[in-house]
Amino acid sequence: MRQHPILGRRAAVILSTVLAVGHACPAVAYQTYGISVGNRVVPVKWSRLPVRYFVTDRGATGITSAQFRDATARAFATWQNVKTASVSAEFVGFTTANPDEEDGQTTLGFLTRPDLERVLGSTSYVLDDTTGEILETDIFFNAAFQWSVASAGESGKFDLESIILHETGHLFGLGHSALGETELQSGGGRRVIAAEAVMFPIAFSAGNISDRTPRADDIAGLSEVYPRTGFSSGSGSVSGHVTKNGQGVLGAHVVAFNPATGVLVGNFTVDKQGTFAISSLTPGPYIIRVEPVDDADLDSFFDDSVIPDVDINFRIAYYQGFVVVPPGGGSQLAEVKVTAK
Amino acid sequence: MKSIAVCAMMVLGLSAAAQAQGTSDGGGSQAALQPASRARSAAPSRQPGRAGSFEVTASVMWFGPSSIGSSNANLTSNDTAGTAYPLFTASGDVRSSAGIEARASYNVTRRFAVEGGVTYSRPVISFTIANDAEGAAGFTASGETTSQFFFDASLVAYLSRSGFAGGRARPFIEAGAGHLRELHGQSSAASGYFTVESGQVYHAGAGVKYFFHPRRSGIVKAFGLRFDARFYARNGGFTFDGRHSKTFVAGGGVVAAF
Repeated sequence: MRQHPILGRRAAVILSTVLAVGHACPAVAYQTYGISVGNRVVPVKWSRLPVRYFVTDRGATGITSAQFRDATARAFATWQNVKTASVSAEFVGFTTANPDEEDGQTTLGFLTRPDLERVLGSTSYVLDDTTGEILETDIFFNAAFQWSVASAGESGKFDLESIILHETGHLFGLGHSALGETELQSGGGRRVIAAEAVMFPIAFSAGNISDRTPRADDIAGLSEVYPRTGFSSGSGSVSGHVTKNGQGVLGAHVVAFNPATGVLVGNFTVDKQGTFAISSLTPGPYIIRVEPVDDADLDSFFDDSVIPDVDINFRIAYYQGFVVVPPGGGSQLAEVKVTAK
Repeated sequence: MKSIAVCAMMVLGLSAAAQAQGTSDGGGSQAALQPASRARSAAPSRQPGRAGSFEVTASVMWFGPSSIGSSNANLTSNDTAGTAYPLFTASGDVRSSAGIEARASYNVTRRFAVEGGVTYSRPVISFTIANDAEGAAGFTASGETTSQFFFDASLVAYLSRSGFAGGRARPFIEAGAGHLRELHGQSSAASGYFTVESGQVYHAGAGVKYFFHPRRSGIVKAFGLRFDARFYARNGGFTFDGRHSKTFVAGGGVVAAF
């Protein structure tokens, strides 16, 4: 089972997360969101489907509202077509409301925010802080950027459908994935070298349409939160601990690789004991790789309250054996030991 | 007369019971020759390898090492073509192992037989990590010990002209196909349940059976030794690249003819 982040309980719980260009702004996420209710963490999710959403009745430069609506429908359909998950969404109509208003309706729309010079889009939630149920979600896309809905993408313009797919992943309760490699740019921020998750917090370059398709990591996350009937009995999980000098490591990025299928699914250690769990895995032998989070900022993945305890001072390590994930069950790793850099 | 009867019995290989019968009978030599005649006609029906007969073999086998390919842990590059960006490379090998085998044969004719068998082994599947994109050192580790079964059927052709040891050694060639089944993991509660990989196995090989003297009585008509050397091609099962893997298997055991 995937772990959920421990977020501060608030009277009015409003979360937000962003997809950035070369830089990640504050976000609160692991692979799936969760909130603390008493002594337990409950997943942030919709309890009633389909998600009924509105689209603002205005586009952006070069994008009509109808094109925006159609791109949104394609992105929702992509999530809906994940065979191992059960989600759905329904377009209600156009609205004049802005996607930053707490008005009880889920709205996707453009806002012009040149001040957020690296933010392509952002998702915010209104939650029931006793159940984790999502009550409202708003997604804004930054009209200060150049956007495209061309089927093959357009050079110099960000692919709207790809970014909508990322943000609607958040809408369904997915957090950020760390399955990617980046490099620092001279002008600040980071550039993605490669990624294997739509939910990676930094977008591919303008003109790239690779993120119109969810990867195994995204599918595992969605399937964990909204499993289709029978999925849980046919999939398995791996769990264990990451330690350094005998002490648990918080915030280590743990990746499970199935060499037979090429599938990569990641998650984090979520407590000071270094506990991790990766679920929704196809049964079979896996190779486990552990690395410190070094792509994007820590606050792309962790709540502010735990960032001071996140350990990024260790070398990449592998578990010295296969971990066999059984169908409908879990495989418990003893320990993955890492050493300081 | 008595001494002649004994001599005849020795030549014909009669049993002590027949000898006793001959010596106690009033018509000694004639009575003694009758069972001798029966023994002569019975011997071919107890010869191994005759048409319509069965054989069962239990063997100890050695499975040679084999590669099960390599696989890249790929990310998608940030280019419009979406080319692969290997995070690391993993390659797998099945290490050599011992196993056991049971086979049942039916001799359709004296030259051809069909047989079915099950082979079980517990090979270690190791893996090697290399080319980590972030510079982690490569290594090789024992991945797991898996349970591997081959359930196969073969056509066996005896090389009658290549027999030796007075015809008791019968070389043969064989070819067949079957089902591959691999069980991963442990069945203990601590580590979950078995997961299963399946596929096909195809094999070709050669061997020799050597039978000792047929037994004069009993269900088992003869015991012997059997040696096999086979080349197996595996399709499916646990591989890193989805391709065929190949392995050499050799061994020997005891065969009983019925």
